[in-house]
Amino acid sequence: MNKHFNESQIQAYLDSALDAAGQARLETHLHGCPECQRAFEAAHQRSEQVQERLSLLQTQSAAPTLEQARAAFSVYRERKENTMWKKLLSPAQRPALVTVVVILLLAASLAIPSVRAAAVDFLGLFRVQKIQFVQIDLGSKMGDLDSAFQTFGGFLEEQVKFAEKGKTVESTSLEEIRQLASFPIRMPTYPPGDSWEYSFHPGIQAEFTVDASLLQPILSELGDDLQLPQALNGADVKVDVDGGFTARTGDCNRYLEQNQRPRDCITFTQVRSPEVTGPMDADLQELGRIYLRILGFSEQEARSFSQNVDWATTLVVPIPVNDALYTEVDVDGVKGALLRTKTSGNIDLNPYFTLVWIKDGILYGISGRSSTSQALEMANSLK
Amino acid sequence: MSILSDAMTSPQRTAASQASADFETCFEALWPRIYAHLLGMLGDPAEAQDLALETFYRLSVKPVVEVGQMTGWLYRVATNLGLNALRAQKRRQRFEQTAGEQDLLLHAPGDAAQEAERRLERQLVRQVLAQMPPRQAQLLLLRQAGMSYLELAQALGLNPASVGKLLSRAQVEFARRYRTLEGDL
Repeated sequence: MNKHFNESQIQAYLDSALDAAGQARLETHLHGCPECQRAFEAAHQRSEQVQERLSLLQTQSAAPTLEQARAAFSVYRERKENTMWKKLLSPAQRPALVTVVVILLLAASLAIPSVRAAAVDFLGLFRVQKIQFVQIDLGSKMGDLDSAFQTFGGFLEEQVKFAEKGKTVESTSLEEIRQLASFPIRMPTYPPGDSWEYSFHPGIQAEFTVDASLLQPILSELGDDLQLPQALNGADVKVDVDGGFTARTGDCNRYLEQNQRPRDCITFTQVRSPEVTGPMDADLQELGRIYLRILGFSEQEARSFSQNVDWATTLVVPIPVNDALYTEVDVDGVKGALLRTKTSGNIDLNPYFTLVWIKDGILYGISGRSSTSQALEMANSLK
Repeated sequence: MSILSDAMTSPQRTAASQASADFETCFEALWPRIYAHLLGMLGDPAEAQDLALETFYRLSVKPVVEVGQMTGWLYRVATNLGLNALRAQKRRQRFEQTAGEQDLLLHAPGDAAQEAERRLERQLVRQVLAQMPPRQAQLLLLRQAGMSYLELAQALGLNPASVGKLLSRAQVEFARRYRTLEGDL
């Protein structure tokens, strides 16, 4: 009995990827089946042609030597790590600007799929009132997700223009700093008697133009159900982050010098929720769904999750499940998020934590090494 | 993009230095191939080098890549970067020769007319790759780079049994688009 062969098997044969038995079966069949012979010939010819055309790209140009490449790599790496994103994310800066980083994540994530242009007729202000952390498991989503994130990261660096509104001001005088901020500064009163160092960063503006021809291929790679809404193409997006206030107590200098996590340094950050402009009738739920798909949610999960989020007022921040423990806590009269690094199992029992909450349009954050109860007490002692 | 991911790495000396030794080995072994792959895709040595550096940079900051999957991972990332670059290029120019193209031909260098024709053909190929569905372009390029069906399946998260069919479709798509573009000349 002869079985006709499908394109998969023919291609595998042509690529020498068919096992010996399969090869023999195919060859035998071809002898007696003119129809399959024709199909085979056509596939063969096409395969040869395509490969020949692709091989036109092969070159023998002199590559940089390994030494040259290594040197170039060092320079490249240093340049990458000195970009603003990396500066903000570097260990030394993180405690001081941890909440600003969360806000930039918000700005970035809102800017890419989730916000529409400042259109002529419809302008609305989205101000984040709530942060929702969602745990994602990067381990189980291989390749594409990671690669897509990298591409988005690279895309952000190249396409998003952002500028600092000024330089950081440092002081030991709270009054001096209070005058710089455009919102009321609250300070923890616990633990009593702590000495604090203050700094104020004027803020950041980010600008970005949505280019569908660059973004759509990235989305398409992740799923066929991800279509960038046509209206976004060419849209200009602006995000404004107002000044950030930071207070530090404890042994923070040693931390900064050695570029390691601090032992007893606690950082308290306070910043106004960022402003993003967009049309009131933006299909945020659809964009939110795309965002979740990018994070690795399945079509089903993304759809149901997206329906339960008020995207106009909520920032969804992804936390890889392997990196941190996330708990919702009551803090300062609102619901906040507590993130703790998973304990590494050495002597030090106080994990690194970050506590984030939003109240009255102000984003607060406390981070450092401490017990959870101390962190919460500090957060609840703000005046 | 997790704000805490870096905070997680524990300061285990041996693990860190082992990781950098692995990276160095990997760099030595694969830089020439990745660079050549990108140069073929883009035609411009400066751009190829830039993207090759970016590829290795991403490897260097990635927490874990299993040794066996490293090659496939590098090729996949490099190919994606290359395709993105091609797509960005295509917005700016159609048949313009890429600046700084200096590659020697694999075939014996013919006379000027023949070289010009080859150049045009290469641009056509690049255009097709830029315009066709990214997944398919990626598959063709990785196959061309010498990956086996199994390696392709691993690198791209595919069912090994479907690689043949996907390749076949990718080829059909490539051939169709090439014919169309050629016809526009």
